Amino acid sequence: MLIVIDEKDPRPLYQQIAAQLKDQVLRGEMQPGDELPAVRELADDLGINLHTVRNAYLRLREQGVIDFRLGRRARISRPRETGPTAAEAERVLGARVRELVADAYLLGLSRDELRGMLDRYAGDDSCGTAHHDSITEDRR
Amino acid sequence: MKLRLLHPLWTHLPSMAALAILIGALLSSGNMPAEAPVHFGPGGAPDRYGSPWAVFGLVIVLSAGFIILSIRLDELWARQERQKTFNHFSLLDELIVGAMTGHALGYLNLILQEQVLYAAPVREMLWLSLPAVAAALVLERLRPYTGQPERLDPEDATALRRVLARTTRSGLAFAYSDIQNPAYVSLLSLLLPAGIFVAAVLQAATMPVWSTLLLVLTSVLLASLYGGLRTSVTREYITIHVGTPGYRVLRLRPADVADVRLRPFMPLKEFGGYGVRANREMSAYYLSGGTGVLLTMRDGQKHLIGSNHPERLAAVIGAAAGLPAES
Repeated sequence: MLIVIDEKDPRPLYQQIAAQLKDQVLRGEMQPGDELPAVRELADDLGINLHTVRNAYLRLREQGVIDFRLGRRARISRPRETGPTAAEAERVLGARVRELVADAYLLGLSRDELRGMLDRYAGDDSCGTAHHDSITEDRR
Repeated sequence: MKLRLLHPLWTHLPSMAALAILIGALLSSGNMPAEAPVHFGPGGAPDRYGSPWAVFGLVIVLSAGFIILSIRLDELWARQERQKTFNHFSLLDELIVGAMTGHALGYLNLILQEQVLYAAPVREMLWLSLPAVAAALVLERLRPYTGQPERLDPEDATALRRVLARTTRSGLAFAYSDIQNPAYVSLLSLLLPAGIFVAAVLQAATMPVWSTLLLVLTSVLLASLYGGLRTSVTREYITIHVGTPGYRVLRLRPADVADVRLRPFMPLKEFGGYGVRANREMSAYYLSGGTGVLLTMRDGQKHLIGSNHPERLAAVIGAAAGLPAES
């Protein structure tokens, strides 16, 4: 697992860590069952506060990306058998999608251009969508 | 699912034959006394009596257990070898089972002849173990090679190399974590210490205090290995930690690394097992697998680091050390 800390990135550090880990899961570089480093060890390696790493892990656990229980090492969760309900999708993604749409509007991006951009990222091989597709395929 | 053994079972026939000879001798021994000396003092005089079947039962169970362990060990060897190599471990079960069953035969003669004093049955031990070891030596030489000559399966580290190139160019802080924590380590670091701890508590009343403390200390040390082996790479250090307390077993500066390359290895043949090991050429750190990352330092020292993703680990260390990427 590779975590890079970019001080120029406007996002808080815990969000950077969480986003990179999710990206590695999406790419298939991190597989279900793979262990994550202990909070203290990762914090030491990155030279950051351990609460920052803990926050990232807690956020990932809330999103179901990792399994993280007291006394046990954090691991990448198994993919869900069923897709999310509409309410769940709204709870997890709603706010971020609304913010994305607002940012696109303020940037002057048309609806089609935004849709094209989403399609491009979702279909980009470098994002490991082959791995993602295989998960959704399994669910069917 | 059919279990296919790469190390054929017939290589264990000599130790099985030694055990069969003991069982045959017991079955044909006629009247076994209900009570016989089962323990002897330093002078050879019996100091405890009991059922001789308990002694023979223990020898049979231990011998069978050792044969099973040996089958597992030899199979591990066969799965690691990339060409036919002589497996010295394959002689171990013949040596130990031969000596144990030979000793049991000597004991059988002793109680059947109602001898008063114990003397080590060297003749029976040699008579069973030497031919067994000689036969095992021949069988190990005859054993065909059924493994896979080249099992180095390079994984694609291109995406990672791209990220690393960006990261090192921008001078950003990073941490790469590589964890080896196979299931057997969790089992050994939970079940074994629990068993030793229970044994320590049970024997506390009858044994000296130092032996109880030694057992408790051993169980605590074994339990502390829970968590396996973690390699982390940052701009400043390559560090290997072991166990829950995070014992630091290696720390290197990437700037001191002169060369990084993938190296297939045979854990049993080259280092005699798993864990933190060393041979004359290098130190080694691994809990599973057969391909590691070999680091050659500027002072000539060599360190072999095991990994479940050696391609990625090599790419990260190479980038941290500022070495050109191989591909």
